[in-house]
Amino acid sequence: MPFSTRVACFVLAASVAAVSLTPVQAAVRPPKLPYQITTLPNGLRVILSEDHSTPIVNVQLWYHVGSKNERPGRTGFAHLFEHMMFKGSKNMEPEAHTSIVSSIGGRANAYTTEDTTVFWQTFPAHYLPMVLWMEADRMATLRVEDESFRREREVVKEERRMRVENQPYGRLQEIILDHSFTVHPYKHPTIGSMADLEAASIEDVREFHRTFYVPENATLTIVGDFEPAQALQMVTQYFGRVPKAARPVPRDIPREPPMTQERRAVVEEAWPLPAVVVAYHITYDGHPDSYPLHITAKILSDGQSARIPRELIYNKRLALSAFGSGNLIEDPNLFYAVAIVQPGKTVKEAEAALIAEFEKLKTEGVTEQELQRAQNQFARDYMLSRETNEEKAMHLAHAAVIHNDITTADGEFDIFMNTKVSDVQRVARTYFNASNRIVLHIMPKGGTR
Amino acid sequence: MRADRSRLPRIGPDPAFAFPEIVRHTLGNGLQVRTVEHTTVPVVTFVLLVDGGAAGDPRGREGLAAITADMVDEGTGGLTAIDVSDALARLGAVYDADVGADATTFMLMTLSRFAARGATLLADLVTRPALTEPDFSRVRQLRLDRLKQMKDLAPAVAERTFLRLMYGDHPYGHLAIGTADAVGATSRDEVEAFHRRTFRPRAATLVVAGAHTHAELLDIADRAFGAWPDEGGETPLPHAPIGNGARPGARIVIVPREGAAQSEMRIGHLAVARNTPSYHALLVMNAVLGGQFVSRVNMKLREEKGYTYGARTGFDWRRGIAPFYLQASVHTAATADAVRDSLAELDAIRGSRPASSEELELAKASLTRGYPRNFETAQQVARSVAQLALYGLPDTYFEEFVPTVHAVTVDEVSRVAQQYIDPARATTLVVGDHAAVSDPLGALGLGLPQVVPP
Repeated sequence: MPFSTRVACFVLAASVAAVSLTPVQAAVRPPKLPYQITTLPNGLRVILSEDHSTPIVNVQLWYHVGSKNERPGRTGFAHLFEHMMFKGSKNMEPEAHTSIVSSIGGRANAYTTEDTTVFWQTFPAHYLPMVLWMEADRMATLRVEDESFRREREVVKEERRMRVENQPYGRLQEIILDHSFTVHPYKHPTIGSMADLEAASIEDVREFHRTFYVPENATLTIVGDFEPAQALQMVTQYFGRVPKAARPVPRDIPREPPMTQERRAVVEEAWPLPAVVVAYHITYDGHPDSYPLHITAKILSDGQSARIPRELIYNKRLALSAFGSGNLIEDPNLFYAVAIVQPGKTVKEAEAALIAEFEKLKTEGVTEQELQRAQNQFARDYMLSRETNEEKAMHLAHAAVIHNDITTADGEFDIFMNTKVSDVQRVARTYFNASNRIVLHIMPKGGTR
Repeated sequence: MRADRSRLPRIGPDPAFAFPEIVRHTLGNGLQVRTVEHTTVPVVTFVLLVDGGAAGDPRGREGLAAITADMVDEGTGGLTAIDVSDALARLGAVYDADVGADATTFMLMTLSRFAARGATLLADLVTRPALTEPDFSRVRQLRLDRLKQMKDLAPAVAERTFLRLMYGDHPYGHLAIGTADAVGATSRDEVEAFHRRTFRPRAATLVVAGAHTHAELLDIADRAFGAWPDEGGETPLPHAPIGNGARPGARIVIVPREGAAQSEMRIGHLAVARNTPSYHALLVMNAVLGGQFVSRVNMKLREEKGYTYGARTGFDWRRGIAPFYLQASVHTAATADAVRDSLAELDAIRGSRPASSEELELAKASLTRGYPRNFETAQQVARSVAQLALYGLPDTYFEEFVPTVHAVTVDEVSRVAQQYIDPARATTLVVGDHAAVSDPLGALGLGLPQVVPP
């Protein structure tokens, strides 16, 4: 890469980094997140992390249930259920949760992914007892009323219309997943289908709470300005008496069989410009190969000078936007690259250019400079994504729930920094093969406008 | 111990809120610098506020300020666009540019140990961008393609149309990205001229927040930006004043979107400028009306009716008169009902159902107790301080916020509602399926819907 005189001079002035733009990362290892982890007798896992820098606390309750736990014909249910958790519990009126958190100047929300459902609130530190009380109440008891259920189902249908159906490219992920999976529930989007949402019943709601919203399927994380012994005592007081589940949490999720040959499809959507997708099945989050895959995503896609934007947008001008990313989650998912094709160019050209980038990773590998750059970007993301209490809690809970190993919340930093160029090439050769590839052409209905 | 979940636990008093000290400096070239020590994480954030945004676009060149800001990281000195991106990546830096109506903001955040290099890179980019013809034509083409895509994006269509309905051909009447005609007509020379007259140290403020002392932060700023010459461009003319009583031609406007699953809805009118003395009362009023999840509008449209995933109200603040708006995307079949219910809520808070003291307390508690959450990161702190410069607010503003909000009374909330919220002069804009929504909207008694293209 040519170097400007100005910046080169400047870099020389800061001589250490100039000589070896390579091993800068060795110097800074960000401070580790402090934590303690315990499990209550009813199975609830509790993670506490003190941080007195701002007088606020974040509480996150992760339930290890997401859209991959849904039964056929009930897609979208985990997320619909998440909404029902705001509809009141034994001692709480419907929507009182949101209104109380708001009245204490806090923020509360929830989200559902393929693997988990997360309820969180950030609030002034002295309200910790109140928030724990409210979370415990809705774990122990749920108020289920037919009318509020029906209304909430309409809200979720509007959410789907807004996020998916009323957006150009809103169905992109849904289309990719549907063509890539045959039996694993990752085939379905978390938001679910309109027909399945319509079919959901109030008995489904009760059953879901009994099955999955039990202490042994939950991890409570508290980060911020509090005193741990006191916090643990409050947690025990409010959550300790939530009964154990009557039966074990089901974990019978079908495995996706390996592909044996490339799959291709052409679909039509009401989108303004054609899109090309090149996807490969990969491994799960936390597998040793997952770290080089994260690095690969950075090298391919983070910033204008990363490989895919540089080639497809800057050099060849084939695409209006183009990116690649690894969807590393609890069960094996996909690494995919997408290009929105520039008017005047063809989907074939864009497909060839995307595949060429994956092939280059296998044949030529990546350079030390690219790896170094990706590691610096990673160090930045690592630090900037652990600034707020909410972010810290998210990393701790993710390590405990998805990796079942809380030490990865910090340990991953060293794994990333120790990744070698040979690792990147090795995983490219493992996963980016034609027999493991899905290629989609998504064409505008009625031709390009 | 017995677990009693039937009674809410008792809570102590609220702690006082303190904002970190802001120290002001002026460099030899006139650049205003404000430093803030923020030590929780070893990162440093630079926010450079340049006085001049989309409202500075010349007539017929709407989008010029935004192209100029976009061109800033496309090369400087001997660095090409790709080199710049690479240099940022090697510093582990995050960079972005944001073009508002009144100002353009550049942000660079990097690890503390790269602070000086990050500052120098930002200064090189902003003060000496390469602005080459090939980069310009590539950036312009991407923007033209994006403008084409935006026609299919209902919220973007609604934003653009709403501004046009509010402001007409006033400089605030367009989005920063501009229009396809104007962007297509823009030349590289115009970008260079815009840069020359707008990007000047005397018309800019640099905020530096990070894990260093004030003296170190100032030194980093001075080494990077001290040599930026003030080449005496023209002082931008203030915008023509715009009254807040203007009554638009049509009460109800439809942008047709065949087969749309939802109607993207905006209801609003011009209201008041950011520096109004009623600002805090307006915030409290808005928190009751539609500023949060538990506010009246969302409770009605989402929780009671199930028409939408969410509805809210707010002010799109500017130095000049800003619009008040209500926004939601609602189910097509419920569009007219949602408009009727929304207008009824705007009317109610002015008199028939004024904010109650319970609502007022909830709104104030939410605004004040939640205030420290806005300042957790160095970036949040730096951006907040830049807002002070943008609106000419005092450095004590953040510390005074909580007591000022607490002092707002029910009467003041009613007064600002009556003065600044007026459904009778509001325009309702619906981006949606014309065939499905036109008749029901026409039956609302707001006159015949006017149809405008996207």
